[in-house]
Amino acid sequence: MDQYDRLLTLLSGYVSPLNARSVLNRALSHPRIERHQLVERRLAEIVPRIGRAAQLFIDPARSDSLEKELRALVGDRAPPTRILVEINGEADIVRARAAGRRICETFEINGFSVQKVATIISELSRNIASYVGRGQLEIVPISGRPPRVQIVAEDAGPGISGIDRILAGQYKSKTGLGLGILGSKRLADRFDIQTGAGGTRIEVEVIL
Amino acid sequence: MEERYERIPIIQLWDQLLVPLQGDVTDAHADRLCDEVLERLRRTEARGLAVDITGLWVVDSHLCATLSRLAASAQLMGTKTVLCGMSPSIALTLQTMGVELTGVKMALDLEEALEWLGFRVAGPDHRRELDGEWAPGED
Repeated sequence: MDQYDRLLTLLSGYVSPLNARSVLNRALSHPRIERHQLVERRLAEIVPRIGRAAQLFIDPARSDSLEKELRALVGDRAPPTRILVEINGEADIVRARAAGRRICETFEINGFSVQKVATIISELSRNIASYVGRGQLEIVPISGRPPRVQIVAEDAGPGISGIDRILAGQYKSKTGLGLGILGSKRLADRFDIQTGAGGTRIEVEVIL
Repeated sequence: MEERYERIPIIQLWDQLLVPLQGDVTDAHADRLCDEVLERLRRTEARGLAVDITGLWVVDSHLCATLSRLAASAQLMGTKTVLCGMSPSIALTLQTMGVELTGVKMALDLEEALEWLGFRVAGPDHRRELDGEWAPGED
């Protein structure tokens, strides 16, 4: 029994066999997923679509029950939600990098894109750890075609002085290469920074 | 979780040292490794140092700075250093960021690094022998 049949059987418990087939085919149509592509790891992508398509036929009183069964099917394969990493010191840089890696892995992406995400996370969390001491990093996966990862680094420190010079590549730090922020900007597909007396917020997006 | 990578071996190969970096290296760990390697260089009077980064999964600007510092310090002590095993995606990332590992000799893999340090393979060429193409006296 493949995943298609499995879903069909599940749906037939809620709607007529004809409608079950129609719901499933509708869920697989936009964007198109062929039956042979419907492997277990892609269920998380399909299940919400099935839930929506089934609304047309299902007895509203049983809709919650179907929802629950569909969720159980996906289990821990559900797409990752945002991960928030508190940065309180250097050891948290490793935790942040690991979180980024986990998110990229669920998209089954590797190579240059993952390296970009991991490196940006590393640079931004180090900035917080070394210059402010504490802050937080949020890693948000955004599904779509292609999927993206958003990284938001926030702290309530004194702000980054000379940010214009840093972004213009005219600054060299004594400890590192002075490339944390500029390097992240160069790696990112979108880069936005707000810094001032109230703190710093850097928002970055990488297309996977 | 960091504990898993606590111990990075420093391997002595005759009069050279080999350091295979692995996994995810914290800043503190990299700094400590730097000190330990330099201390071992002094104690063993090693003539060369090969740092293999094949097993690293992320190399950021800070780690690059640490590795540059290690190579420059070894150089000051009279030991030449070669870095090898950088993956294509790490190379692309560092290049995009504009990180330069100036003054550090790079080699494609450990074989090339060891050759640069003066190691020579004795006997028939294994790679060709495995391919079944090797015949004595062919060269």
